[in-house]
Amino acid sequence: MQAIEKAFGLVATPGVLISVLLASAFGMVIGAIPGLTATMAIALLVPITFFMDPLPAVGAMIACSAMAIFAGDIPSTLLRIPGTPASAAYTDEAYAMTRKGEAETALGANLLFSAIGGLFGTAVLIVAAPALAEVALRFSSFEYFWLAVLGLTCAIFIGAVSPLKGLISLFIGLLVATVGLNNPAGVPRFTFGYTELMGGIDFIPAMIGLFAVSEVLRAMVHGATDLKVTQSRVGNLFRNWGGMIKTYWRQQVRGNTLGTAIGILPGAGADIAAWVAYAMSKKFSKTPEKFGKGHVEGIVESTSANNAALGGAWVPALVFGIPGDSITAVVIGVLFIKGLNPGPTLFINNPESIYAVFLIFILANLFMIPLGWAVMKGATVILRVPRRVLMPLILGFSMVGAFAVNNTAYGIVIMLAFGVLGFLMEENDIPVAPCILGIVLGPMIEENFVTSMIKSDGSFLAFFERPIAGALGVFTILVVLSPLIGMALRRMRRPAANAA
Amino acid sequence: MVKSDIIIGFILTMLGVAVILHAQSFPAIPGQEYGAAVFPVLIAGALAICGILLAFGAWRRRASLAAVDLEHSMAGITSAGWTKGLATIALVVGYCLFADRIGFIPAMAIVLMVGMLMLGVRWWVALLVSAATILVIYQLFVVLMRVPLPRGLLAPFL
Amino acid sequence: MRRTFLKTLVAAAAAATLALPGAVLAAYPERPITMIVPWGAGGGTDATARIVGSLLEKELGQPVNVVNRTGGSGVVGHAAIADAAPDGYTLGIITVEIGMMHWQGLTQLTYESYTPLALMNIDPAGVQVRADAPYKDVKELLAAIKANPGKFKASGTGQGGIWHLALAGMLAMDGIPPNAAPWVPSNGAAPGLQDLVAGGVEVVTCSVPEARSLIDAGRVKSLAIMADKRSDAFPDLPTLKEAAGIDWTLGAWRGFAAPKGLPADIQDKLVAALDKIYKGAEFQDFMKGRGFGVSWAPKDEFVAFMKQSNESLGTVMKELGLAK
Repeated sequence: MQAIEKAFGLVATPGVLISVLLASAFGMVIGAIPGLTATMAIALLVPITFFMDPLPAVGAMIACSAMAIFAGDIPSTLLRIPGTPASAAYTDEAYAMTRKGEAETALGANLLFSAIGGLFGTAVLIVAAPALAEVALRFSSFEYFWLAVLGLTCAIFIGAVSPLKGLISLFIGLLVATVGLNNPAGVPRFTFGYTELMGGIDFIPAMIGLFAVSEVLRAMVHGATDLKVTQSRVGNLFRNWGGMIKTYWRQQVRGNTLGTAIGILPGAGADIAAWVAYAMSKKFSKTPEKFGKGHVEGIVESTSANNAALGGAWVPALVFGIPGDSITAVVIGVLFIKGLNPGPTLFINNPESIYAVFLIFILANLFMIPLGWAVMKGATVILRVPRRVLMPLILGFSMVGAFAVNNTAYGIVIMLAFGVLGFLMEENDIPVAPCILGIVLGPMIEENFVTSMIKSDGSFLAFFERPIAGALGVFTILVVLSPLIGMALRRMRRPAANAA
Repeated sequence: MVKSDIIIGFILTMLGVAVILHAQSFPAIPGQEYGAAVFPVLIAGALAICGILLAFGAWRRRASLAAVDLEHSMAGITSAGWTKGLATIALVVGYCLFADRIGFIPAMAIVLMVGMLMLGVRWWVALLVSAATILVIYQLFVVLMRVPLPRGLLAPFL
Repeated sequence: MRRTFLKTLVAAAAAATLALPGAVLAAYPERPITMIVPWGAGGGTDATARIVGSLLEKELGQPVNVVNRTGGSGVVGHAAIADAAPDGYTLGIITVEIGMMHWQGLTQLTYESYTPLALMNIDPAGVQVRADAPYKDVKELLAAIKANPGKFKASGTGQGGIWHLALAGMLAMDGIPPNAAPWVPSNGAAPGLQDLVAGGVEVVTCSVPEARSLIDAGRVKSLAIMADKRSDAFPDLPTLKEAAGIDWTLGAWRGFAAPKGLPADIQDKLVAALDKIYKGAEFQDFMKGRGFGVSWAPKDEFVAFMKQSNESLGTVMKELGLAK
């Protein structure tokens, strides 16, 4: 208890509060700009934090990353330019809401449930970080393999119109993921002698291409007619929120729990969480037919999940120094420099600093609401820009963003190639979202499959021998087979009905 | 719909077969039972099967559908539309080729201006909007985020 | 109005073309410098480059932009440094992989493709096992591997990566065939270590600082380092020679370099600045904080170091069948 009081004292200093606030604003702006990511924002802070005290330094990074991840939903909703694969899960849904004139509702839901998800993740972090980290440490390649396969199966549930076309998109993504040198064998594949292709195909330019550039091409080809709806203004966001929490409390709890659970696993994180949450939301929804046409339900669940996962990613990072993603990797480095070496001892020797870090988490999620509200209100102005002006601007920002990912024109080339691919796919009713899922999860599946087979000397049984792997494996297989089982049940019932 | 599904199915099947053939050239790795070729071949095989299913399904449906559904789904695009689409692609390709030499500012100005003019924006509006956009991009990406956008011809002034 | 604008533009363009050769003659540096990192944001190489970059900025009085050019196990970024103009406005951090990639046939680049500035860091490989593993020292571990060829798996980086060579070299030097401990490729040291704790592999031969937090947490123990002398940060840890009599050393290193053909006066200026940074408290504190080893070798010494590293890596890779 005394440690908590001390922690309050540590946080409630002008230095800490100001640096957290400034970093929040910085993260909010960077995240809201299409093409700039939370990782880039954090990496830029490294040299600055070097000259700061430990707590403001760590606080600045936490606040900056939390804001940037939420703000990434803004261009995703308004312009169909997702910032992370996690928000790609519901980009189409949110953009469909914008097209219906409900941009502010979508963003409001994003903001509210992101903040609540973040707070939930933090609460779990405070209560159970050391215990959960133990569980995370039991995950070997066998478990990760099943988890990635489970993530892939979501594509089948999300792929709206025709499951076959969803699968095609998924396989295209998986095939794209095999390009380059980054495979377990370490040999170049499909590089045709080009050095740039050895680096493989980065999912961020690909994502910008598939979603944003395809939209620009469509406007160019079919004409950029303005949306025929007027955007409904949600004057007082806070009034609407009570209703949303009441209607969707189940989705929110489910999303939070799932997000935290998947988020604590290093390397799996927010991406899989958001996709699984969206698929689950549709599966359990009373109105699954509304999904994909601008329905807030799936957004609530997946945005809750991806922000809860963020908090989760800190569990293995703080307890064992294992980075869950590139953001925690940067912060672990800063912790070391500041003498706050991650590890169980951090919780014993330095409880007040660890509680202070938790307090900053809470603070960041609270700052998110007013800051996010301001940025949102400012950003929705662009919806009043005529689309014939807006579309070239989206193209310009996409190009600069794709360049900035790896500081090379090769990013723009990838973006363009995927823009054309996305255009052709969508003109033929092939959804683009599963393709992103394939690009993100492809390497994870291959790597974990190959390494598992090396470890088990080629025995498939090993995928079921470890307790967690076995349970995950059986569950995954049931999920994959469930449509077939459902079909079989319907077949069995139908003759009976005919007979009656 | 039907026509394009058959074409896409055919293309995907060919792509799958091509990948499987190309993957045969990947070297085996000493000490690894599952080499570099295994995954690409599995995925390409699945893609080829999906392609065949798509084309076959469309072929079976063709009898039961109205003539309009038989059309190619992109058939409604006018030739002017195609021109604008290709011009957009050419703009981006041109930017990649020349931005290093002439610099980000003039190259981006061309992309934005031509893009807006193609969509029927008045020239002075396009000029103003382009200038403002470039200023914003410059401030955010170059000044704030230190992204090394090519400076090209304007290097001495930046 | 429009015509004068065009005229100004043409004039500006002409001035720019004419001004270029003159720019080099003026006092270097007179505009921002770009520093290329061939590895991703968040890793040790990125952190080192960013700290040196911010200190270099103070020394030279011009902004130093650190940019990541990732992919292809470092090939893409190393190529980008070598291909840039040798005008002193593009520098880069190069890593041990420059002595490995060309043996694998991935690129033509070697250490000779650069103007070397200075080596600033070396982290020797360590031998890590689970804390509750039955081996007291490296000798017992090696005996166990020898007795059960193929049973114990090792990890720490991708197939043919630096830590893979560390393991293979150690085994070969002890007369054990390198494939007696099959390599499980991983996406860097952190996932490899996690797999070690999760029971997926038995040995991880990454550098000791990379394993530090798990060692501190009592989950992993380090048995030896593959260096010729003990490390200041981990003085209790024996060298491989002390622990098992195996004369094998290998480490990952990081140094700064420019494209080939950098004018001598700019080289001198940069090396002097790096020297000052290396001796400064900020750099030393930073490296100590991360547990990274520091090591200084300017210009010709750096070249000699890279030459030696290149040859010993080549020998091991040929033995392993990884070289083309």
